[in-house]
Amino acid sequence: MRIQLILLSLIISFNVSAMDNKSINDLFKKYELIMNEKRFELIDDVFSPKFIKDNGGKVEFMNKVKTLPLVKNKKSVEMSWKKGVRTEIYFVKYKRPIPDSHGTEFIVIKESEKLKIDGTLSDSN
Amino acid sequence: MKKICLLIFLFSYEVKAQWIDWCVPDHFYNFQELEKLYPYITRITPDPDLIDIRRPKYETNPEASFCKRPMEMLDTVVFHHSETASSWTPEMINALHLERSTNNDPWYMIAYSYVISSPYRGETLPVPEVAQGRPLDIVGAHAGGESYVSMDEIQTKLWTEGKVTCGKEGGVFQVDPDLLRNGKIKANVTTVGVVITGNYAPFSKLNPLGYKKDNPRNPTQETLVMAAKMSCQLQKKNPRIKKIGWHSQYKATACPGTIKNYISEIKTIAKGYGCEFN
Repeated sequence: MRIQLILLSLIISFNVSAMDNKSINDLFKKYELIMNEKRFELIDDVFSPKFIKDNGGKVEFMNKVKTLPLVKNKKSVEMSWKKGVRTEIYFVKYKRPIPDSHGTEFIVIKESEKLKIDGTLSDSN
Repeated sequence: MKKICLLIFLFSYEVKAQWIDWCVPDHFYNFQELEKLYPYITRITPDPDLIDIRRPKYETNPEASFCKRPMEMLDTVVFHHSETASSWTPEMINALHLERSTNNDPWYMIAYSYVISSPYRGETLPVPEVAQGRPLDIVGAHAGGESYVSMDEIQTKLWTEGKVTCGKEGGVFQVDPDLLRNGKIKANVTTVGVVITGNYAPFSKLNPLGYKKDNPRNPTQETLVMAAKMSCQLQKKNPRIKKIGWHSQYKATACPGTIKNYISEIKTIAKGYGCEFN
C-alpha cells in the first residue's frame, strides 16, 4: 500500500512538472515572438500588469522592443527553470548558448491560472 | 552660524555627532579638512556611524542551512544591482529569495548584506535609504556559488581552525569542506554583498527591464555617497575590508550594469571620510 502511494505521488508530481514545463515553454515561445517578430498583440498574454508598469507602460515597452533587430525563426537562447520553495512562482534562467555568456533570471507568476512574466532579478547565489 | 556651531561643539560633548551633521557640509566631512577649518579644535573623534541603516525584521526559513563566519574573514565589498524595478524594497527581495533554492537547499533569507534603495539619476523615487540585509556574520549568497577566491594568512588560519561553519537554526554547526576548492574559498565567504535596487543594464531580449540604449540609467550622486559612506562605515568597524568590487568580476553577468563605472568614484568619496579601498 505504501509503495503504491509513493508511486502515485511520484506520477502526480511528474505530471505536474511536465505540465509546468509545457506552460513555461509556451510562455517563452510567445516571449520570443514579441521580442523577435514584434508580435505586440501577445504582450498582455505574456507579461503581468506589474511588469508592464515597471517598464514605463506598454507604449514605452513596445518602443524598447522596436529597437531590437527583427529576427525570424531563430532560437538562440537556452532555458532552464526552477519552481519556488513556497508558492507557485518560477525562476526561469535564460541565456545564450555560448560558454561564459551571461543571461538573466525571469520571475514567472501564475495569474488567473496563466503563467506570466512578472519581472527579472540578478542571478545571485 | 559658525559661532553657534562652535559653542554647541565646545560645551556639549554628547551632541558632537549631531553638531557634525548640522554644521558641517557633506563635502567637508573629511576630518583633516575640518581640522584645517577649525584649528582651535585639536582632534575631532568621528562618530563611527557615518550613515543611518534601517534594520528590517526579516522572515527567515528555519529549514534552510546557512554558514557563519568571523568578521576577520571579510575583505571585500561587492556591488550588485537588483535587476528588478528600482521600487523594490528589501522586504520584497527577502520574500523572493525565500522562494529560491540551490541544489534543493532553500535559501535562509535575503542574499545580500545591505540594500541601497535609490532612484535612477533624474528621478526622485524611491526614497533613498540603506537597509541591513542578512547579518554580516552570515555568509551571503551573491557572488556566485561557483566563484572561489584565494585566502590570505589570517583567512587561511581562521578556515583551518574551523571558524567557518554551516548548519541550521538551532542545530549543530560544522565545517563544510565544499566551501573550499583547490585551496580557494567560496567568494561569498570573504565578501559583503551590497545591492543597489534597480536595473542598470541596457534593454535586450535577455534584460527586458533594462534601459533604452540612448537613455542609460546611472546612479545619483546621493546613491554614490550612500554607497561610499556605507563601505567606509564597514571598513571602520572591520578594518580588514580593503577592497571594493562588483558582481561581474566574479562571474559572467550583466550585473551591476553602469554602476561598475562608478566604483572608482565611490572609492574617492570614501577617501573623504577617511577610508582607503583598493
